[in-house]
Amino acid sequence: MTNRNRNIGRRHLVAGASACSLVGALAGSRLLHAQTPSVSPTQALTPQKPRIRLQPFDLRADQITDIKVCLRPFRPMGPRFDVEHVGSKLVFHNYGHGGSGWSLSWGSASLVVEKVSTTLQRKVAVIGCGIIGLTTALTAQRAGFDVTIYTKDLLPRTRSVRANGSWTPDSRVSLTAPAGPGFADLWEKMARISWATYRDYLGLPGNPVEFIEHFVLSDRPFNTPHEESPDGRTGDYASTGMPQHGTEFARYSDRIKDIVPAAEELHPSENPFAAPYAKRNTLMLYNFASYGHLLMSEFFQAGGHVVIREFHDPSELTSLPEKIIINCPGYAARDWWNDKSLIPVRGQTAWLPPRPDLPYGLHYQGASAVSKTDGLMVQAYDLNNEGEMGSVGNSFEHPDRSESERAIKVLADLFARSPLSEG
Amino acid sequence: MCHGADLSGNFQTPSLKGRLVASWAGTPLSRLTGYIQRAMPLMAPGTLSPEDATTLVAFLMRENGASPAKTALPITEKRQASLKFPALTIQPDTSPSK
Repeated sequence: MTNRNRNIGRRHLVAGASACSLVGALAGSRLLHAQTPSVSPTQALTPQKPRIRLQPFDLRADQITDIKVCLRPFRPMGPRFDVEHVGSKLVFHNYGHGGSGWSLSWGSASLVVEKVSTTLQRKVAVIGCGIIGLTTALTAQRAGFDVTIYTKDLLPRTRSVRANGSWTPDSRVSLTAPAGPGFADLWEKMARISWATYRDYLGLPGNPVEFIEHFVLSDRPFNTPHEESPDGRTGDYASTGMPQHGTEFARYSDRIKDIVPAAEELHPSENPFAAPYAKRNTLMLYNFASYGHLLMSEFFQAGGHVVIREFHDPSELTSLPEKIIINCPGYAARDWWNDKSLIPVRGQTAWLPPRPDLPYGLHYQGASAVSKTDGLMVQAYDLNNEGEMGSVGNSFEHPDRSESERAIKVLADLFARSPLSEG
Repeated sequence: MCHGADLSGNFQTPSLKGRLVASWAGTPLSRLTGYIQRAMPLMAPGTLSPEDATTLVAFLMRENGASPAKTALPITEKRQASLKFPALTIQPDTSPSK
């Protein structure tokens, strides 16, 4: 949050509230919740608070500066970490993180580099320079390896920077059944290592990584179950080879709730939005420009080399001088390693001029706006209420402007109705 | 559509000129045909026939300045494996309008 003015009302604790009274309030809230489930316990017990003051975003389609499309590299069984021989080379795979590559990158890199260390080699080749390749290369350097990155493109043109770039560690990272309980443990380990590593990038000039205030808004109470629009799909991954319902996707976030700040439900008196239900949390963001340049600088400062090269077939790895290769191609593994287990999940973000003076974000009716240092990012993450199934199997990597305009309209209409726009 | 009518691509979609030569020069044509069949078009990979993919390879070589051969490119993978994507060099511009 350095360099960014904060004019949002922070969480107010009741003056003089003791630990005992908080415990009492929690116990009471459970009782009340059981008797009147439609009333939020927070709303029922929290005293009135002044309305949170926010300045609205200027959300207009004629402000779009860029539309980016990415393909999340989703594997039902979770990311690929096995080891293969290619000729005399040993290839360690590290790809297929779905919508969680940015979030899990450091943890995933750490697990792979631990394995690579057992080879007793000093030189390592990393294939790919998206967020997984780059963090893997840095982690290998920190473990004492001489690292060369072989890549078709550098960070401004990789698929990674077409992502959303926020902490979403279990966003379509696996399906519960094919991934199995073993992957849940591995996921937790990766998430904890990543989270801890990101702390090292907070509070730096240019905000490579930061927390912002984030509002999740709803027209329905949060305790009503989410129901996806019926789409006529039947069966499941086991019977069809593709996920068929959102409930098949794994959710692991509860395993790390001891370290990730919890959301709090807003009292109606403090809710500045026209949506009747609102939660507030803090969201970790990765600002692509400053974070990307910082990671590249760190890599070069530690003596790393980059070779621009495109591979077409695994057999071409035999021409590399390094014996140890870490394969981090992301979605490109589908073509370059012929890995048909990768399922594309399309994602699109529209970028409006940056508003560093308004460091907050919101989600409402399947549209989101998040203020990042390199732009105000608007995403239609689920306008059609498809839940996790939205865009699964869609590899159309071209901008759909109408999709972004719909998302902008949803949020612009919300701001127009919201009390924060009055006076 | 994706790579543009002049094959120059855009920020997200690679150009099919220039860097394509650097990436594929010296590589067996069978590998390029195989890649196109396996990966392209991105939104519907695997839908092109070997004949279509071979036609695209011939088109890419022509657009990047390769001289036309007397005979058409063979379709079979085995025969394409013995042919390599040519290393092409930009010729000095001799047009009077430069």
